[in-house]
Amino acid sequence: MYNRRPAYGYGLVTDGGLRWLLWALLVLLSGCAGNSAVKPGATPPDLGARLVILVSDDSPAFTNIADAIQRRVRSPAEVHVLNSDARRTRGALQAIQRSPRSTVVAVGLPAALAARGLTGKDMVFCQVFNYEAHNLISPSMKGVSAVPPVVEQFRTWKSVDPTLRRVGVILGGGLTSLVAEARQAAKLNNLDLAVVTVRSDRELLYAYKRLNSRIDGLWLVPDNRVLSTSVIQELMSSSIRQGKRVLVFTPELIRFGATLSVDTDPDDIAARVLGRLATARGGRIAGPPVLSLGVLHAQINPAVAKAVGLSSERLRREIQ
Amino acid sequence: MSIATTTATWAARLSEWRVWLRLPRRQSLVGRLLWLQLLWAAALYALMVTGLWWISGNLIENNLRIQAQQWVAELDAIGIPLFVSRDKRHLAQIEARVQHFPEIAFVRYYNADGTRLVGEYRVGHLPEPPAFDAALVAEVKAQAGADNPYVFDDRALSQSCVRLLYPVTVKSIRADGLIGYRPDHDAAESMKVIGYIDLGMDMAYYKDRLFKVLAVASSVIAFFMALLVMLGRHSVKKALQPLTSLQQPLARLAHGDVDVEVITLSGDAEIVAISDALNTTIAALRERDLVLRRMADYDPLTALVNRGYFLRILDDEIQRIEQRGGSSAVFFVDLDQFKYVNDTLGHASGDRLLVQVSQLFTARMRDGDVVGRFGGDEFLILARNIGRDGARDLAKALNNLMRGFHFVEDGQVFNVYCSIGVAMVDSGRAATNELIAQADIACHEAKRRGRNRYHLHELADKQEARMAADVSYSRLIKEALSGDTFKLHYQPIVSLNGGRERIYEVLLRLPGMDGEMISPTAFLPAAERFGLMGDIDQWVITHAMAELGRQRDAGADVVFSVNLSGQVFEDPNSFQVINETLARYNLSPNSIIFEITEQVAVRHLDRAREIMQSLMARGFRFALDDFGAGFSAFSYLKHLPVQFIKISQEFIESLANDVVDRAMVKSIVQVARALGRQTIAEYVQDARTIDLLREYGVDYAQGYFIGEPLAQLADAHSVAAAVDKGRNVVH
Repeated sequence: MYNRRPAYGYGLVTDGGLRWLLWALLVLLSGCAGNSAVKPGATPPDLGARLVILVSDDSPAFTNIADAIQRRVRSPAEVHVLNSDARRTRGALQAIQRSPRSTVVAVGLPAALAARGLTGKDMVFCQVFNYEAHNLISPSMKGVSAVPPVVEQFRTWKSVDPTLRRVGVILGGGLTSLVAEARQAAKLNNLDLAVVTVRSDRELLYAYKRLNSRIDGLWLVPDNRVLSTSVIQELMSSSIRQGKRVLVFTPELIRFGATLSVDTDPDDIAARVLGRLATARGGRIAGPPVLSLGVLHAQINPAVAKAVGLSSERLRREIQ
Repeated sequence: MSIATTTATWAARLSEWRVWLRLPRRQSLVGRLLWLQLLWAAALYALMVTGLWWISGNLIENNLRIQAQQWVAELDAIGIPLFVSRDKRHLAQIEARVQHFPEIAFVRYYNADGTRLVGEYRVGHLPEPPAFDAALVAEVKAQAGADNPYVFDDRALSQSCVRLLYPVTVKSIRADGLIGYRPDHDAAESMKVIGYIDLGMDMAYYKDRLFKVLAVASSVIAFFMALLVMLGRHSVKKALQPLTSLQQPLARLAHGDVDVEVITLSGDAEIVAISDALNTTIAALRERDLVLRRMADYDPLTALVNRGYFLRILDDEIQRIEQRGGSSAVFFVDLDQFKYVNDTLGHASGDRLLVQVSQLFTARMRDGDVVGRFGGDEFLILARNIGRDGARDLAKALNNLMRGFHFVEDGQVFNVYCSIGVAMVDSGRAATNELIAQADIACHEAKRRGRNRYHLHELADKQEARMAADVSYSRLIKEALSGDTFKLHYQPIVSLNGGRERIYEVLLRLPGMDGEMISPTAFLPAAERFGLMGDIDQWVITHAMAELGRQRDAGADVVFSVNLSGQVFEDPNSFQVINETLARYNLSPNSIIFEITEQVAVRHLDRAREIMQSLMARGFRFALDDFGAGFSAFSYLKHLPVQFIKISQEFIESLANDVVDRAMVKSIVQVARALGRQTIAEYVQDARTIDLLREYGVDYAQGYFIGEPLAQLADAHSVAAAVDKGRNVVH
C-alpha cells in the first residue's frame, strides 16, 4: 500500500507539473518487522502520563517524532528540548530523574547520550543512526531504527531499477549490524554489494572514485562521521557525470541528482517507540536492541530515472 | 691638482675627442635634435626593457602563485590516500602526475603535526626545500577553514621559489546531523586537519624561459627602436630641411652676396614666415647694396662714374680688346678755366659748372661710351671701338663742344674750354694705370701747348721718356710698398714764440735703384697717376704712428705732422686705418697733425670739411699745407677747419730780400690770426728769416736752417740752438 505525500513539492518534480511528476511512495511494510509490528492506537491509555520525551533540538526531524508520540498518547507527555544547551540538559536530566515518570523517549543522538545517564527509567531512543559507536544499547535502553529496513530499501530500488546489479556503500567504521543487514538485503534482492569503510569525508570521496567503476549504484547512508555537505554535493554531481544511480536517505537530495530516496515515517517511528515502551517491565525492555521500521517513504527522481533508462510507463506500472 | 687645472685638462681631452671623432666644433640644430631623439629613444628603450622585465617577473610570480593554488587543490584531492592508506605506491601516481610540469620544484605531504613526511616529490637538481618549522605549521593550521586556506612563504623567494603551504582537512557533520538533513540549511560541521601540503613552484624555470624570450623581445624592440630612430632622423631632417636650406643662402649673405633668394620648400608657417622675412631683408640689402655701389661707383655731384669704377671699366675694355682686337680711346679732359670760375664765383658755382659740363659730355657720347669724373675739374672718357682718326675727330669735337659752351652765372657769361689728352687702347700693350698716365701726360702736353686743344699720345713722343720714368717710379713704389722699404724722415717744426710743443713733419723717402733717397716731389705725381696714393697714405700713417708710439714710450713728448693726399678723402678705409693704428699704439689724437695741401682741400672741399671735422672732434689737428702756392683764396680759410696754416715756401725763401713776400707773409699772418689759426713758415734757410718771421708774428718755423729732415728725430737742444741763432742777427 502506498500513500502519497503532497507535502513534498520540490522544483525538479513540480516545475510545470506536466512533464515530470513527483512520485511519493509510501510503502507499508506489513510484516517486514516481524513481531515488532505495532499498530497506531494500540498504546496503553496511561502511557502518556508517565512518559518523558527528551528531544535533541527543535529541528523538524526530531520534533515531528515528538509530536507524533504526543498525538498517540492520551495524557500529554513531558517534553524537554535540549538544543545543545548543557545547562538546560543538566536541568532536564535532573528533573527527569526526580520525576515519577518512568519511561523516557530520547529523540536523536544528543538526547540518547544524555538519557543514558538516567537511572530507573525505561528508555527508548530513535532517530539515532550510529547507536553502536556510542554503546547506547542496554537492558533499560533500546532503540528504534533511524532508517527503513535495508532489504526494503533495496527492494524498492530494485523495483524501480531492475537493471541494478552492483551497488556500493561507503561508511564509517563500527556499523557492523547495518553492514550485516545490508549484505543480507543485497543477497535477497540479487544485488552485489561492495562495502567500503572510510574515516573521513575526503577519504569517502576518494573511495567512491575508486569504487566507481565497480558499481551501478551507490547507497548513501546518513553516517555523519564521513560525510560533509561539500562531499555530499560532489558525490551527487560525480554520480550524475558517471551515470550512477544513487539511493539516498532524504528526499532533499533528489534535486541534486539522487535516483531514489527512502525516508522514515514519523508516525511509524512514534508507534514503534511507544510499542517498545509498552513492553518494558522492571527496567527491562523486551525485543531486539533496535526495532526495525515498518513504513518507508520512497521518492524517485523522474529526470534521473529517464536518464538511466527508466521509462515513465514502467515507473508508473511499478508504483501501481 | 687644482680644480682649474683639472677642468682645463678635461676640456683639452674633450677637444681632442671631438677632433678624433671629427665632430664639428659647433653642433648643428639637426644634430642636437637627433641626439635628443637618440637619447629619448635610449631612455625609452631602457624604460621599456626594465618595465618589461619587472612586469614579467611579477607576472611570473603572480602566475606561479595562482598555479600553486590550483595545483594544491589537485594535490589535495589526489594526495588523500597518503593520509589514509600510507600506501607509498600512491606517491608514484602523484609523481607521474607532476613530473611533466617542470615548474613544480617539490611537493611534500606532512602529517597532522607537520613533523613527519608522508610523501615527497622533489626535482633533484634544485636546492633543499625550506624547513617546515613549528611556527609555520601553526600559521598554516590557523588558515584551515578560511576562504583562502593557504600560506605563501616569502622566504622561499630568495631561492627563486614560490612556496605554498596548505592544510589538508576533513569535515564531518555533527552527530546524527544527517537525520532530517536539508542541504540548503547549513549543517553544523566539524573540521580536522589531517596533514599539510608543502608545494614549491620553481620560478627559475620560468625565468630562464622568460629571459630567453625577453632577450629576443629586447632585440626586436631595439631593432624597431633603431628603425624608429632612423625614421625619426629622416623625419627631423626632412622637417628641418627648409631651415637647413636657409644655411647656404644665409652664408652667402653673410659674405656679402646679396644675389641670393630663399626658396621656401615647406608649407610650415614658421619657415614660410622666416623665409619671407629673409627675402624681404635680402631685397632691402640688395637695394641698399645697389645704393652703396652707386655711391661707391658714381660721383655724387655729376652722377658720372668715378675714378675707381672708370678704371674697372677700362680694365674690362683692355681685356676685351686683347681677346677680340680692335681699338678704343681714353680721353683725359681738364677744364681750363674751372679754377677761375671757382675762385671768382665760389665752389657752388664751380659745382654747377661741373654738372653742366658732365651733361654736355654725356650727351655728346654714344651709348656704349663711358664718361667719368677723375676728380676736381678732370674728366675721363672712354670711347669704344674707335681708331686714331676717330679719336682725333672726337677730341676735336669735344674741344669744339666746349668752345660753343657758355657758362652763365649771376648774369655773367664765362667761356670754359678744355685741354684733352688722348691715349689709344689697342693691342693690349698698356695697363690701365699706364693708359690713364698716358692720357694725363698728353693732357699736360696739350696744356703746355696753350690749352683749349687736344694731344694724342704717341709711343714715339718725347713724353715717352717721362712715361718710362713714371712707370719706373710706379714699379719702385710698388716694390717699396710690398717690401716695406719706404723711409720716413723727420724735420723739426719749432715754435718762435716760446711754445714747448715739439713738432716734427714726417717726410717720405723712396729708396732709389742706387740707394739714394728720392724726394716725394719726384715720385708722387707718378704715384697719383698710377693710383698708388691711397696705399702710400696708409703706409705713411701706419709707420709714422708706430714711430710716434715708440717715441712716446721712450718718454719723448713729440707731435708728428703727417701729410695726406687727396685720395684719403675718397677712400673711407683710410680713416679706419687711422683709428685702428691710433688705438694699436695707444696714441692720443692730439699728438697727430694731418697736413693737406690747399689744392687737395679745395678739390674735395665738402668731403674734406666733413671728414676733417669728424677727425677734429676726436682730437686730431689739421694743417693747410703750401698755403698761397696756388689759386688760394683767403675765403677758403673760413671754410676749412684747420688749426695751422703752413705758408708756402715761395714766400719764405726770399723773405729777407723781397718786400712783396714780406707783405704777403704779414697779410697771411694777419688773416690767420683773425681766424684763430696758427702759422708755420716753411723753407727757413737763415737766421734773418727767423727774426723776420718772429717779428711778423709767425708761430712756427721749419727749414734746413732749423733742422734738416733726418731718419732720427733731431735733438731738441740743437734745434733750440738754431732758433736762438736768429736772436743774435744784427739787422
